[in-house]
Amino acid sequence: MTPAVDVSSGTVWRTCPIRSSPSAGARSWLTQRDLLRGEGISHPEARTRFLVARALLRRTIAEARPDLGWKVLDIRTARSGRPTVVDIDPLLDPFLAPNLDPELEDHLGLYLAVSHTRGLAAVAVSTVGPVGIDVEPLGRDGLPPAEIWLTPDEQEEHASLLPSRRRAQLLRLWVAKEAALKANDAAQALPRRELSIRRSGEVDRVPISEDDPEAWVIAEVVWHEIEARFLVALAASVTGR
Amino acid sequence: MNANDPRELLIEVLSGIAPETDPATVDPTEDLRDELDLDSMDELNMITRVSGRLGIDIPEKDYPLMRTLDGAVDYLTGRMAAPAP
Repeated sequence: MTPAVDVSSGTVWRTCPIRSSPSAGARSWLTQRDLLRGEGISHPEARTRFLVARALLRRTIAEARPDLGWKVLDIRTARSGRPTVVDIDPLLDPFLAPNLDPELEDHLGLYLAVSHTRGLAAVAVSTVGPVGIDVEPLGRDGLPPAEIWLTPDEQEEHASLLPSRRRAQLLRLWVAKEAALKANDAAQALPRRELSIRRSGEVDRVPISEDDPEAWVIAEVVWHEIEARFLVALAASVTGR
Repeated sequence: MNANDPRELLIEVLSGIAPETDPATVDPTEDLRDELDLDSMDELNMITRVSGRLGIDIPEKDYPLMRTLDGAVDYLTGRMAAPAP
């Protein structure tokens, strides 16, 4: 597991290699509910990735908020698609437990993000505001056609690059947009081709017409390479704070 | 293959995106990402290819409607019957 890195005060992210099955160490962080949810995933590799990422998420939550009992927290998916933490212990919260609300976005003041791919899981936990994370193998092929998800300016820049640099640049933009989408509700409502990634890591919303001239920064992204095999983007929402 | 049958088209497209799986045997009510081990890039590739084959534009806000095989079939059937203006 990579060491925790603070990208901003209150945010921790970690990555963990994924092998053929969760290690005993990873399993020690899983609850019975996690295991039951894993059993519901039919594809074996997808199940392993889910379980490893879930264990990593629980471990990172315990690190970010050691005052919370990680075993009595359930992790659900809210309507936005974000993972959300819910306190399920009726002894701790007798009024909440019978009325679990998976739409709660920031229960207990924790913001979570998860991504996994073949070989690596990545999670981010923040006590500050919405975060997003995305990971892809550096050698990944098969990116969707550029005109589907790049802004016109990004398409122009992409076309001007040497062919040998295009795939790396596309992957960098892809993980940044995925992380920004996860970090920001405003971004989630936008097509990827309306999210502009600056070299500095700022993520802008692109105006779509003359009647709609406003652009604004909605997130900030940082990139990291892991073991020269994976590219991780970590986004922190700007407008969501 | 019947080119106008969204289910057959989806299975064909998914077979190309996840060749190690058999999309025809998935539970059509379950999330394709879990059933076929797809990620967001696979999902966008699936939608792009289906959109191109059927000649319909699929806005990103509608992507969540295509997370299951049945959901995708229903969505595409509706769009083919009544294309968006």
